[in-house]
Amino acid sequence: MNAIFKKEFRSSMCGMTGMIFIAYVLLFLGFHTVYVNYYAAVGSFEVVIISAAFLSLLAVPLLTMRSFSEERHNKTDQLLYSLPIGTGKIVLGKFFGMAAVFAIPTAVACIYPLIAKTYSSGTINLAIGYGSILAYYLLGCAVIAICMFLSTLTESQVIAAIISIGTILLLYFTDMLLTVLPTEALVSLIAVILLSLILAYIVFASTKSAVAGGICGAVLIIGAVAIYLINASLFDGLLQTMVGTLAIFQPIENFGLGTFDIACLFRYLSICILFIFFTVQSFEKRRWN
Amino acid sequence: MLYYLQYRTVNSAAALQYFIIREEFGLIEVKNISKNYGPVPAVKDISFTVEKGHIYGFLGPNGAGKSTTMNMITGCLAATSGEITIDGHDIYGEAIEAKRHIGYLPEQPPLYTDMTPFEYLSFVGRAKGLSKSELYDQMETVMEKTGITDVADRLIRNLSKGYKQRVGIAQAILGDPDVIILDEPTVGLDPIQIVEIRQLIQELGQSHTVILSSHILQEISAVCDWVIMISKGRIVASDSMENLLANASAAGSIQLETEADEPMVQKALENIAGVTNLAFSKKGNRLLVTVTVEEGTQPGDDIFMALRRENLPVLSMTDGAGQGALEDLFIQLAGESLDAGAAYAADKAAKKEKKEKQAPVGESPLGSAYYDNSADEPATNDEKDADAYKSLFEEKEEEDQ
Repeated sequence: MNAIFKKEFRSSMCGMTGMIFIAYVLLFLGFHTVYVNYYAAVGSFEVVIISAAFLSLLAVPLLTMRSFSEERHNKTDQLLYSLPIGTGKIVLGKFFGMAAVFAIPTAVACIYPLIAKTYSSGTINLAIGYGSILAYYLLGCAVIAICMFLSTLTESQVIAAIISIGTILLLYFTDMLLTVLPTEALVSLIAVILLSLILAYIVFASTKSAVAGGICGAVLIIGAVAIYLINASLFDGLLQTMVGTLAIFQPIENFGLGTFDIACLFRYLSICILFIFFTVQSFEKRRWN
Repeated sequence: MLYYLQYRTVNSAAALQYFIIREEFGLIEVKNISKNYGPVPAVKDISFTVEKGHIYGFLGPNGAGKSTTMNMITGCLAATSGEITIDGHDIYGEAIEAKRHIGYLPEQPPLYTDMTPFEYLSFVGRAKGLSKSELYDQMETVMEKTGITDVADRLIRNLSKGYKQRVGIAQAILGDPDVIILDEPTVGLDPIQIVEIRQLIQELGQSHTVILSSHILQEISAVCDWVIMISKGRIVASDSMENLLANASAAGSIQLETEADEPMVQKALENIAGVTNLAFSKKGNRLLVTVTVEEGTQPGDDIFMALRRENLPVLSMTDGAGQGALEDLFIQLAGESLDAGAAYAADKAAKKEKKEKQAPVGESPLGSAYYDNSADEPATNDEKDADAYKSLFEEKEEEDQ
């Protein structure tokens, strides 16, 4: 894993992409710092993080687009498959390599609250400021994990980048989508049934067993309908809750309210773990095609 | 002390037994593996064993399933069914243990072109789990062996194809694996590079087990001592080179080139024992004669003397028992496998099959594909080609000076 990590970090830093990524993130963090902390004279750094998070993380695909699609395109994935390293360690090595590149601009940003503190006449809560930086870093890692997974789906870096940017935009604008979604229980039930069908199909596609897929789908759908018949109020607003889980850029805003939101940190961590798992599965699956 | 001795004896007996068992099982065991790409079968029920200390040649035309089989042995691809064990470890169940025994160079060398060979090899070495001191020791020997020491600090992107191939081989032999698997290692190289790579493979064969795949018969016969022939996803022959050659020459033929008339040659050769048939063709003002020889006889000397007595100049004479015979045998074996696979082919590609059947006798579709593929490679006597090539450049250099 160490070898893969070093290779990934090195190739990002020696190539243009890593440097451009770092420059881009620093540009947006710096711009927001100047605007919020100095022009608007708002001392708290969490406000900077909240306003800069989405725009600065739009550059993540630059870092992740090559991670797996380039290996596949140059057939270097055959080397990775034939090395005595497990697939999990390969994926983790790559993920940590990219996370390490992202750590560089985040580490630079850690100086900014101190500058504000030095020249501010008011009181500045550094704990919340650094908490928001930690949340920002974990959010970045979650986005890296998601985009890394998307990179395993295609051989072309350009397509990987486009899909990744599209996904980041979708995740960001989910918040607006929530306001127009219906809240009726019946709509939620239909959404759950559709989701069950998709899950059943995934089970069928990965096991090649119609029985397994059918049983999985039937159990989920019958369960959902039964719960609906017993207590329909459980389904009120469920669609909002489900779609709301996709809105990963929103929880970080809690730091702006002055709360150190541990649930938000755990949420980002679990997104990282989930998508690393998906990446392993996707990378492994290519051998079985 | 006594206890210690006893312990040693027991232990070495166990080690010996382990060694014997492993020897019996073979280094690589491939049992009934098949691979389907969707509905298309690429490899059908292949089984073979690779023993220590040989150079194995995996021979077959393009699309026969060579690369698929190699990818399955090295764990790059999962088999649809069947079992592969490397030194007793299952390639999927105990993947990491199994892969420690293998060094693999795929058809396209898997190189990170933004690295130098030095950086690339240290990455591969570390990934193979070598410690720092082991890594630098091994890298030095490996780079020397493959002749890339001089280019170790240049970017791989800027290296010639031959050097890229060498870096690929260096990567495969790093970590001193028991088996080195090379998939078409000489494709696209110039004659000098081909000969050099072959020499390198032969050197490697002295200390490792090597599996080499190729669609070029000359390459396999120049380097390997055991041949596995594969065609349309099936193994059609697996035998030592000597046995194959012996079988191939059983019913051989002799090719003659002479400046004489057909009737005169006919007259001179008709009464020689062992000659069963004569076939003639013209090449310019020369006459090409193919003498079919009865099994078990060697009438070469008699033929030459008979023509000599009649004052018919023999310009060249080749004994068919050799390259030509092996090629014939390969085409014949591949042809048999085609017949066996005809049922499937009839289902899937009825039209294509029809075309193949209409092809003239002696030019099986596989045979022509095989010759087409070898056409862009030096067909015969690569060493001679390489010498000619070298001398050409040496002359040019002298002129330049």
